[in-house]
Amino acid sequence: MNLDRLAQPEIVTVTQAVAVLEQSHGVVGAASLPVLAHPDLRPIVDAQLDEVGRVVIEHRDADGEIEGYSSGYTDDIAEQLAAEGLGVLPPLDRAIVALVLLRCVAMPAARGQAPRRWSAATPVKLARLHDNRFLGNTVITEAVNRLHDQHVLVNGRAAGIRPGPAFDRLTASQRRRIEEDLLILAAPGDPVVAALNRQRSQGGPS
Amino acid sequence: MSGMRLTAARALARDTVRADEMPVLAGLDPSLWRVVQTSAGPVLTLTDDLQLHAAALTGLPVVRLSRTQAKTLLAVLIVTATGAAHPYPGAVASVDGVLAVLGGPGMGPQAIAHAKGALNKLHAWRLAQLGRPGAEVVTADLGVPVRVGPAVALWSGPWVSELMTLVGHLGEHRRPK
Repeated sequence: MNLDRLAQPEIVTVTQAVAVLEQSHGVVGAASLPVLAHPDLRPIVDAQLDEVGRVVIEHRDADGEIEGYSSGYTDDIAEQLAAEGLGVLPPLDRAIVALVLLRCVAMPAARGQAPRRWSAATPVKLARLHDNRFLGNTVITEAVNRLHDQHVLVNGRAAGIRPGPAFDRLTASQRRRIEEDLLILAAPGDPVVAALNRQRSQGGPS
Repeated sequence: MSGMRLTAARALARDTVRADEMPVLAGLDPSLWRVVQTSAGPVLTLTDDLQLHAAALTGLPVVRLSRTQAKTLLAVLIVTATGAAHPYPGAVASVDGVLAVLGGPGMGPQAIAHAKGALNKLHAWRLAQLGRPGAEVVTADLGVPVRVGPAVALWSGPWVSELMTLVGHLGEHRRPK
């Protein structure tokens, strides 16, 4: 949808929304972006982001109301970029991220206390990550610091480590895929995992 | 999947635009997107007037530099300043020059370590560039060349010349009388 058809104030509103979504690190409060609740202008923001393979991500509170927004790659584009190796973390860093997600997301979820937003999960202490026997403490600590600088994790030092604002840029489908990966990692013999693996090998939805 | 969507997404994910992608990206709406030449190659970014700064950042979740990182970036701007209204591309200086601005011989080993750590982070965030363009992984050690990084090329708005006026005053102030 071309911006030329809009009046100047509307162009400013739409382009500012794209600018805020693309330059913020984390979830922008819904009150800061009223244009995203506007029935006529929201599709234009969506279209502008889609031109570069991006999408608006809505974050909802416990009552299901939209509390904020972020932007991220659309599912088809994210899949293609990952297939090309663009933005893919090296194996060691992926392992550290998996450890943090297991402690901050998967384990609380198994207790019925899933964080509403991963970036707001209860942090895990660095010492708990050091419990991992296959990776040395120094290697783990260096990876945590590196991932903190990349905004993948937040290293709150004494407060602990939690998923970072990069996770706020994942769509619901991309988060679900990671949740399934965590399940496969934690319980490879589970019948649900067997079904998931079957579904994936048949190219079904994940 | 349209070619432009994927090309633009690749350029954003990679942080640089390849030469063969330029004609495709020319089709993007110019009121939103532009390609800027930097020392790391062309970069796809938002237009000048959409680069958020100052009051526009109020209330938004953004990454803020720590005090040491901000002071170190200011020192980089001082040692690489050429008197131009924009800090990019600036002059080539060295880690020694940055440390001299931050305190020189008066700095203790811990302060030097913190400043070098801050320089490494600024390098990772492309606000400063250590070593020569395209060099292997370089860390902030004495003698290593420093210049402003490609992310500085994206700075725009009146605040940039105001900042450089301040940098000019600071540079003048520290010059021996």
